[in-house]
Amino acid sequence: MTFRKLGRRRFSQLITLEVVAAASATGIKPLYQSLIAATPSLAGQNNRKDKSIRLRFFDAENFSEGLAKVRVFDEKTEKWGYINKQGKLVIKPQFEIAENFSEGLAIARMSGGRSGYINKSGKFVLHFGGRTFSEGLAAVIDDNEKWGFIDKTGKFAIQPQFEYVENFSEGLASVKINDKSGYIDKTGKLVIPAQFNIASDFSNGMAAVDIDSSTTFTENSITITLSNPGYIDKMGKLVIQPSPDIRIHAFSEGLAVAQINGKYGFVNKTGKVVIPPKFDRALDFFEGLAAVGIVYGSEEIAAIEPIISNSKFKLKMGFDR
Amino acid sequence: MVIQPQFDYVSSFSEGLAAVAIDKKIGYINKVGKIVIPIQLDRAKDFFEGLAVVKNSDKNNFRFGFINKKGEMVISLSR
Repeated sequence: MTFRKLGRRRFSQLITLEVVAAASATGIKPLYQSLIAATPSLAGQNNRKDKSIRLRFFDAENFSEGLAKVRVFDEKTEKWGYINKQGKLVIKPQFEIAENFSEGLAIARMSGGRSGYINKSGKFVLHFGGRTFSEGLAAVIDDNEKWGFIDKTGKFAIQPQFEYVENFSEGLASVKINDKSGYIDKTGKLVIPAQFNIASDFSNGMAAVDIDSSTTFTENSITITLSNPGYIDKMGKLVIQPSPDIRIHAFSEGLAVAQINGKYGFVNKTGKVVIPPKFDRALDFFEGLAAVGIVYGSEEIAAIEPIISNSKFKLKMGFDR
Repeated sequence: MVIQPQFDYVSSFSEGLAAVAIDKKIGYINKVGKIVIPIQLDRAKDFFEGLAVVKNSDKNNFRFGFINKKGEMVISLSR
C-alpha cells in the first residue's frame, strides 16, 4: 500500500480529505490515520515496579518489509523504534521521526541532529534529507535547495538541479524547472518538457497535469488545486482533455474516480464514464473493488460539507465492481 | 453493487480484507461482504504483510497490538 499511495498526491488529496472528514463526522478516527496515543494515563504507569515494563507502546504503523515502526514511551521521552513480526524490538527506540522501510532503507531523524536513511540494523547509512526510496532511487535536496536523486550507495544518479521533484513512479519523475513541471527518466533526461503548472505521478500509465493557470493554495502543507486536470500518457500526449464538468482523480486498476455534478463515478483511460456518477463518495479501486458511499436521508444535499457537519444525514458505504 | 451500502465507513481492500465501521466500532469484511473479524474494535488499520494494527478498550481491558487475519492478537503492545 505504501508504494501504491505514492502515486496519489495532489489531485487525489481532495478526495482523501473528504474521506477523512467523513470519518470524523461519524466520530470515528480515519482508519489509516496514526493511532492516537493510547490512553495517556497508561504512560509511565507502573514505572516503579519493574524495569522491564517501563517501555510503553503508544503507537504503531503497518509492517513493511518485515518491520513495523512503533512509538515508545520510556520514562520521559517518546521515541520511534521498530519491531519485527515476533514482536521483538529490533531497532531501539531512538528516533524523533521514522518512516516505513522501503527497498531496505528508512528515513529517520534523531532528536537534535542526525538524520538520513537507516538500514535494518538501525544504522545511518546515507546522510541526506529527502524522500523514501522508490524504484531504486530517492529524491534528495542539497544545501542549495536543489533536488536530485541518489541511488542506494548514496551516489547521485541525477545531480541536484531541480526546484522540486516527485518520486519516480513507473519509470518517470515529475520535476520542476523555472516554475514549470515536466518529467525525467532515470538517466535524468527530460522526456516530457516542463510545461505544466502541476504534474502528478504516473499511475497506470496516466498522469494528471494542469495546463491552464489554476488556483492553488496550501493548507497544512498540502497543496490543493482547484483546477481540473487533463491526463497525459507516457509519451506526454494529452489523452484526456481537461473539462470543467468532470474532475478525475488518479488511476488505479485501470479506472479513476470522477466527480461529475457533485456525484462520483468512474472513468476509463480514454476518459469515458464506465460507472455512472451515482455515489456520494468513492475511493480508488483496490483488489478489484472500490469503496463507495451513498447518503440517505435527504435529497437536497448538494455539497459534501453539510453531510459532514450534520449528523442526521447518514452516509452508508458498500463496494462496487 | 457487490456489497450493499450498510457501513458508516469503509477502507479500501488490502490483502483481501477491508475495515468497516458501524456505530463507531470497526471490524473487517472479506470480498463477499462477510464479516470475518467482528465489529468491536475502537481503532483498526489496513492489513499489511498479514497483520493489522488495532486498538480496543473497554472499562477494564485495554488491548493494542497487531492481529492476524483470524482476528487473533499475535503481537500485543499493551502488555
